[in-house]
Amino acid sequence: MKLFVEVNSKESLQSLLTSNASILVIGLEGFSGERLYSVSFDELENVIQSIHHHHKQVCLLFPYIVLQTQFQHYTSQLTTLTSMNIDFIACGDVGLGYFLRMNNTNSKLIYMNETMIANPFDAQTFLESGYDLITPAMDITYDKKLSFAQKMPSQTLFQICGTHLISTSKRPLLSAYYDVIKTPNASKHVKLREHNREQSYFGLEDDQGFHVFHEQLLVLDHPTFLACDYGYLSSLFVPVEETLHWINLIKSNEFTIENVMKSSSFSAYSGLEETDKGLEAGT
Amino acid sequence: MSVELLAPAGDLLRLKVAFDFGADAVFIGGKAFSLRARASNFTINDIAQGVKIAHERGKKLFVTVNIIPHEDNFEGIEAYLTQLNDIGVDAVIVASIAMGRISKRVAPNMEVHISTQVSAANEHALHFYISLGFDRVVLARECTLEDVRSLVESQIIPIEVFIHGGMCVNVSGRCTLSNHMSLRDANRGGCAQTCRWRYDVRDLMSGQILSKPDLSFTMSSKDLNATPHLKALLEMNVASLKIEGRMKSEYYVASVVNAYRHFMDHHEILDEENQIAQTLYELSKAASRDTFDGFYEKLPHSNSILYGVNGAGVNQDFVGVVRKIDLKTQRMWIEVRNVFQVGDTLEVFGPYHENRQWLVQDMRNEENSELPRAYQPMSLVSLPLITPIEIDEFIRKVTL
Repeated sequence: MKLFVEVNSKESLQSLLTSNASILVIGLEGFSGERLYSVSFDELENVIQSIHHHHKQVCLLFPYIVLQTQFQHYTSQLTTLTSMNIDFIACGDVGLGYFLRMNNTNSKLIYMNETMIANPFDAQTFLESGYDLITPAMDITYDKKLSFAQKMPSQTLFQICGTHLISTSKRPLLSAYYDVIKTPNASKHVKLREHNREQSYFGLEDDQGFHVFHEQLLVLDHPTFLACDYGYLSSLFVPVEETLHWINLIKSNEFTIENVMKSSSFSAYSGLEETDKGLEAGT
Repeated sequence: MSVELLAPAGDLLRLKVAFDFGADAVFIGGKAFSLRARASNFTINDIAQGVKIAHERGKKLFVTVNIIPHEDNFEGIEAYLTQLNDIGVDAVIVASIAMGRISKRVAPNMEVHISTQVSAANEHALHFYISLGFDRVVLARECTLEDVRSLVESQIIPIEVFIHGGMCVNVSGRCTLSNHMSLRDANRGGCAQTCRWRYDVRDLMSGQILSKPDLSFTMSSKDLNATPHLKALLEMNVASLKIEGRMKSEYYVASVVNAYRHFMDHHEILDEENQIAQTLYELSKAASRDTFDGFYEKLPHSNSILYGVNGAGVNQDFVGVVRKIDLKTQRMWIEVRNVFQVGDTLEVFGPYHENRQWLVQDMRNEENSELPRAYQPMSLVSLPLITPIEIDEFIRKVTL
């Protein structure tokens, strides 16, 4: 399995360069917020060279939608990406993926959206539209993910371990709230907990808006997932030492939810068991 | 080409009301494959009747097939889309590109509109969807007026934008808060609106509580009301202006459609400032939540969130519908919806005349006995005729 591993800081990049990760995932300033270690267009070439120098591949991740005016503002820079030696570009916006494909990008394209591909038919349609890999929806049940992995082990990119995004808003919801309660400089990295529930969630506000992440690690340790060609490790909020530990567990065939938990301060789960409540009048 | 006013309907009654009050097209959900699982939703026979009502008036009917489907949800989709095509549905609104392509294959004459659930926000996304053979894109609600103008001017594909109704606080289609917190799939019609719940906020590093106990953090969005930008949207010639709310009442549908229809029909001749004020006033009579003007002008901030408010209010001002006019006795018969009484000032509104107000001085029941107070829903009461008046016009109480 080739492992995509998110880089979440310049320091963690140094650690991951000497790890067993296959592909390092970085972001681009103006598009990726604080989701990952994000570099400027000017820095990108050097960072790519540095990663390649360590015999690893690069994935540039654009996790959010790109508005028309933002696209127009950056069009010339985005065009330069198509001729750069970027191994993979992961897009959360179909327009960006279409743009890169129509400009004959050298990079393999990944459609990476946490919700939109919840069945193999949509997956196939995206693959036929020029994408090389797709990420199945995070919220489908474990069994449905297994079915996906069995049907298309070479074309799906599952998150094998890590925290994961569960909602994203363009609005600066924390700043807005802090203005109302008159504490404008309070932290933009928070935990949220609904009054009547135990489960907490991570909240993060950056220049792309406000994003909520699951506080538990999602761990897919079934051999079927680990037999796929590619796997993804999401490291936001996670110390790099822990990410390195996951990589070693996978590479030594010891990746189980129990082993992940042994050295983690996080709790873990293997995905939703059902999502069909309240759908009686639906499908 | 004139701009379409597109309204929601949860059942045939509301569909008819939407058309009567000025919608050019109505969108509805079927019993399957549609978000808003808790809306009444239409059987195939209902949809066929809806098509008939629409086409008799020279108007259109769209059906939402806008879940983000799982594999098992595809069962029966081809037959369903074929049925919709056969009964004359003008378009389906899809979020799944696979379902959209199936529709194009089995029902090539029925348009496919790509839902706001996919968050199309740039011209390259529009190119992608037209490359799949789709006919219209409903833009992401995060688009600014400048984004919309640029996308309309690109003339890649007809553009539909939201102008009124409930707003997801998160990017539509990319929120699974409900899935994780209530096991109800937001993208298959089960959204529990967990964004509107109240949350404690703690600093991630120190654990210090940052939220206030008397004013919790929430992600509860105000509703959209794009009236201040309506003239601009009309002048840039978007294909369609959409009102959200398939679960809203007949009164809501009537009031909102009526207000926007009036604006659209008069924006070239009336003073814009007055027209905006008048439309906002009319819309306020049907408001269930506070509103804001969306992303059109600037990035929404605290003015877009409902802090310290529980849910949406129920509007009690709607008191009845005109059902009969008796010229001989010079009385009109009102089907009661909410309580009103002698001494109240009422207002009648409809698509054909300006609003009219009057004081209730005499009210009678079906036995022609004097009635001081009308309180039984769906009962008929008579009032002295006012003119002009039309069957099916709506009556509301005026709060002075």
